[in-house]
Amino acid sequence: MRLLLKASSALAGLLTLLLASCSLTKTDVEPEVPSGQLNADNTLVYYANGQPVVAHNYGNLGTVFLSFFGDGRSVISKRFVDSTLVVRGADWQNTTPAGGKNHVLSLTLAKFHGQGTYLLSSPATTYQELAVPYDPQQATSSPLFTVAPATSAEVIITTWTPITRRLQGTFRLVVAAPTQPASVAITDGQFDLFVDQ
Amino acid sequence: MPAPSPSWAGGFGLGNGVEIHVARTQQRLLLLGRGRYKLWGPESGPGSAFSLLQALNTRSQQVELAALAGSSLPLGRTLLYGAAGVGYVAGRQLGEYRYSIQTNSILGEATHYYAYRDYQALGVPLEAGLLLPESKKRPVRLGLAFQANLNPEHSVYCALLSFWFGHVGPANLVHR
Repeated sequence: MRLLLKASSALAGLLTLLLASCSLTKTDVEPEVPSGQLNADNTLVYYANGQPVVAHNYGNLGTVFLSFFGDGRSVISKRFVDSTLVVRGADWQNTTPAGGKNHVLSLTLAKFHGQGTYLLSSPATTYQELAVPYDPQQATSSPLFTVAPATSAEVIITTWTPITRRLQGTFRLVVAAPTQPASVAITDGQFDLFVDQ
Repeated sequence: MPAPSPSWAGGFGLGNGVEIHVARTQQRLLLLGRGRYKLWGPESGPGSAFSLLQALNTRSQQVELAALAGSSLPLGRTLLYGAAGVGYVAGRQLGEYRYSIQTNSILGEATHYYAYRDYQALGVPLEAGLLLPESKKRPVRLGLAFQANLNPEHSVYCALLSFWFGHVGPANLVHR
């Protein structure tokens, strides 16, 4: 009987302590995106619905091998004869676990002339989220987001140096896809890259 | 016959965490103070492989300061004990993976970035363990300790090999 009373008291004490346990402070932190160039090479960063996306070029044995089969760079920029400038960033360098997503953003600037503000429009500017592991079929089967109607979408070129072809700028836009219920807000975007010849 | 005076002991533990402790015993009553630190990686995904060189931003961690009260029970020359109390914890718990940055190198080196939560909380520390037979020829007494801290943020569990200096438990257990 005495043992039972002691055990009951101990259990009651433990339950009291458990009820008294509580959180004092908690702060949720998202990692910041880097600024400027990483590895002194093309870099494009932004937030997609508040989550950081970082795409940048890098070199190792794997990328050297892949270069024999095509352009596998994460961030590319090309200028076309009609003065259209395309900036594409894909976060292929991420070691995203299976079930995660890679992000591919393609910004198209019409009549590129240097520093200034360029409005983005559908369907030229696109955004896709591709499931990991990557399957080439996804490029056509995954939802293609384009600039959402009646939203502000722009790129601001802050630096253009024709001699070195270095391009720096910021961007923001909202994209939507017909089959998707929610749009994606792309905010605080910036790039620092070299435009291909 | 005068009541035996309380005895003091202290030491540390090593296992899937590290801790230091100080204990005061009077007969079977045990008062325990401990400080514990545990570091661990994500269960899967980038940075989950064990590596002492892994960057701290792919590790969760927790520091605990606790005061416990309990009882000891001699079992032959071995001593069993259990205690519970109140503890303060401060820690960082990794959330979802966000992105990696790769450097230019032959084999490729990556730094992984996760979302995380910094927290402080009050929890319930628990400890149960055993101490191997004590001997006057040996200054340190070995033991096994199983520790937990139950709290609303992240409960932590440790199994440690413990080292005790001084006397723990009833006075008549010491053997030459």
